[in-house]
Amino acid sequence: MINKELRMQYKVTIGIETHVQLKTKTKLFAAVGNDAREAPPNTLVSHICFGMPGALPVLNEEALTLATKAALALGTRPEKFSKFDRKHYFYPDLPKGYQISQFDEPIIGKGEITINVDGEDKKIGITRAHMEEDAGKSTHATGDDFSLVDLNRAGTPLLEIVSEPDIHSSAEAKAYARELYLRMRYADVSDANLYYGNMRFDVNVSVSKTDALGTRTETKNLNSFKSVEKSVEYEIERQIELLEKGQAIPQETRGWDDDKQRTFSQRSKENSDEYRYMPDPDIPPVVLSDEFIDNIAKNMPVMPAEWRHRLSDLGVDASAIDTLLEAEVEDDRVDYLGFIEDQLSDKDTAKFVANWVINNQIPLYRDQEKYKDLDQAQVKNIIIHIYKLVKDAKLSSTNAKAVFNDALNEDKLPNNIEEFANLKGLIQKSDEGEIEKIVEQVLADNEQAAKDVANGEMKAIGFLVGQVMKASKGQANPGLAQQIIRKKLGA
Amino acid sequence: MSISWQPIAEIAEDVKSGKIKSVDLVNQSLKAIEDNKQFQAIIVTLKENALKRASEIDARIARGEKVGRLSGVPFIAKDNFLVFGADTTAASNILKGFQAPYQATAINKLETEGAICVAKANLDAFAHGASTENSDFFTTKNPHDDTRVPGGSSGGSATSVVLGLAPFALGTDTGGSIRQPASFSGCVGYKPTYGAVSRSGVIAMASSTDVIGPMASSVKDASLVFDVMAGKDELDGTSIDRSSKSFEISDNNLNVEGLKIGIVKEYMSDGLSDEVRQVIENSIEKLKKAGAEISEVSLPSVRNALAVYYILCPAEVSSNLSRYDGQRYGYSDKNAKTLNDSYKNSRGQGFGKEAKPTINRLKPLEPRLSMNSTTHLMNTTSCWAQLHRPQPSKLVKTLKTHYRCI
Repeated sequence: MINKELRMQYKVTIGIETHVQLKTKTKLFAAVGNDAREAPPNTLVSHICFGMPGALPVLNEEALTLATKAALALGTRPEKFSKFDRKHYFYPDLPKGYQISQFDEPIIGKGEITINVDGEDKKIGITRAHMEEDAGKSTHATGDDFSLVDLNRAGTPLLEIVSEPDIHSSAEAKAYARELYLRMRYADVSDANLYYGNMRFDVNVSVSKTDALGTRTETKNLNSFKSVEKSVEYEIERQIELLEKGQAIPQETRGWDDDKQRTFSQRSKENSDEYRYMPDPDIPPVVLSDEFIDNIAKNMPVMPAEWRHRLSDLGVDASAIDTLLEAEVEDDRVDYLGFIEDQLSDKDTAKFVANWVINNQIPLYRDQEKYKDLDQAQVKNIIIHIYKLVKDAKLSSTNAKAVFNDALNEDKLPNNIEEFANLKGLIQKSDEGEIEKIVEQVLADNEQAAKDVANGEMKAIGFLVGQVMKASKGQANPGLAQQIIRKKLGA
Repeated sequence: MSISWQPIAEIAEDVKSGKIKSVDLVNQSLKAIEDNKQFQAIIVTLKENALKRASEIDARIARGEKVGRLSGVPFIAKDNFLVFGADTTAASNILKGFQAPYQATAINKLETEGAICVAKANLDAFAHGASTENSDFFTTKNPHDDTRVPGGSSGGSATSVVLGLAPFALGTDTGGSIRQPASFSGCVGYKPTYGAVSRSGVIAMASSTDVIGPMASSVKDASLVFDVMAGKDELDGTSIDRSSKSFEISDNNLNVEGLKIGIVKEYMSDGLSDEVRQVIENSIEKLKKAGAEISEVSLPSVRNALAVYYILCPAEVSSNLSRYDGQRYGYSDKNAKTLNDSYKNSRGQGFGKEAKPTINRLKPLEPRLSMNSTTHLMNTTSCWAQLHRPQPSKLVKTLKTHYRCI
């Protein structure tokens, strides 16, 4: 382990390349299904994916729409002119002997996103993002003297997003990865399912004691936020150790061993010239009109950074915001943020709803999936009604939660929540005469406590209110009960 | 020995009217191929399929169903066109035994109009060459003089048309591969504008200049075949929309009166043989008499054209040949012990010497031409068809065969 002081002497510089699988219906250059998740091997292929003689790639227009959304989500607009290039290398899962990518004129240029690390905003520059086709999948089973190639994934559209080296810690690296994930999901560009490899991270790390950058290593194919964080942490320590021993850091590509929680050397870094990049003569350059871009921009959803502002204005704390922002993309069946957005014209309602969603709805839904299948419009209606009842002091906060849970468990969601709460005996009693009777009984039963309160020992008043609530089976309005107790005892 | 065919439109009419049977036309074509074997124009005949298609067309006509503009007309495709189920080799050993699992859009369009592919013609392997001597299989002879080359790379197609093996053939042209063999062998060859005919299903040479065109006995026939093939194709992003106007030239619209024809100065200078110059001048005279306005124009950037071509072409050829790696189809060295050996041996043994590409990383230059006339007249080659081996030096051959075509 490197001690903290030594660690502080080194400046860490991190840049991240992220591959995002675009959720087009068909592949980037072929009219073949793009969802290879559960398909048997080599069933989503055509003569184009197979690299047959005479097969030509034809660009999928939907990919341009998604790339445009991605550009807007990355704080910029797509380039009006971009083109595709061929990147040559031989491998059995690359049928044409070249990958179609974008070399010097990518679809997305410079951008910028705001990430949030421990409640603090930080800006990270985006260098560029380009479209390319994925390769197929090779399987090398141990013990076999052959390998298997599945071309279902060959030709799936990817967007490779390259960050500026603006990231300086493992926490920032993780926050950046998470922020990109959220943005790609919010913009509806990708399913961004990390389990299925829809999003993969290559992390470049270097350390240096001076202003000059150190030699970097690239750890490839990370598929979780945690592995991004852990691999960066591991590389920082490993590189500092090497430098402290007076050794040089070889520029290389490394892999991540998730079981052993460490990176390992894969191969020395290739020079980009070896790929013999050249313009792809089969694909005319892409020219986007302002009209095309504006039409997409008009319908862009609010990005996570803006939501952080909005929710923080409503007094929601940073970790609760993170919970909400992530829950939003967990399941298409529920749109938490849309619900909150609809209430924004009235800040009090919005604040109540935001907190309700975070504290009650999300935990309940995470606990039991079945609630996500309920009519969510009706659930929203229930929450709004609960808010009105709480505001009018007809429901205590404890009972409000009970009403919500009970209502959602009904076979048929109740329309009239006040009536429903009343039937369940959960409506607060604010009838002064009735509560007064209960108070009198409680004071008579608890002489000592009543005396203490009368003598100014206000601690005991909470106990008395509690007794009133108990006697009323939770239905008394506790505020009103306290007022009456004070009046009776002259406190 | 060679047979002559009626104009294509008339053949189709006779088939439609039941005057002749499509099956007889296909048999006539197959017989001509057999009788002219010594010219080695054909790599493979598609007898069974062709006869089956012909009898289907005859049956449809007998039932009174509607048939297309090329009904029953046999044709020959250069062997770099994929024809469904047919051997397709591009005259290269690396594709020996490869049967096309899909077919070229151009073939689809011709078949839709009732044309029948009877055979696949020889070419320089992967269309890389200008004499058809670079076929990995055999050399095609010039139909007029078997001591000479037919030109190339569409030499098999040109020879087929001249010998009357079919009423028309298909060629591809990247740097003169339709025009030059048409000139050497003596038929009509048309190189259309880039993108006019879809390249889908045609084995690529250099994608930025590959075009598909007809080779036929007359301008009328060539224009009819082109009219059938031309148009935007969703399988080729570089294909272009066609005008709704027919491209077919008939006696009614064959008129050059008032047409402004520019004679390109740079082409009429050094390197042009006297024989070819004489032919061009005769043509100019004929056009003048027919009412065309002739003037001299200059295309100064023509001088760069060959250099640009020899930068772009090898780069694209090298890239386009990457897919022939012995892993999925075509020739594969079964004795290779490692993946790298499999690549090296399959490609080393499968490719002929002309196809082994120069590898380069390049930036395209853009020659800009100034145009003062509506159309230009120029020679397709600088000389007559040269003799078969012994071959001239590579440089001389290259200049002679390409200088005038680009």
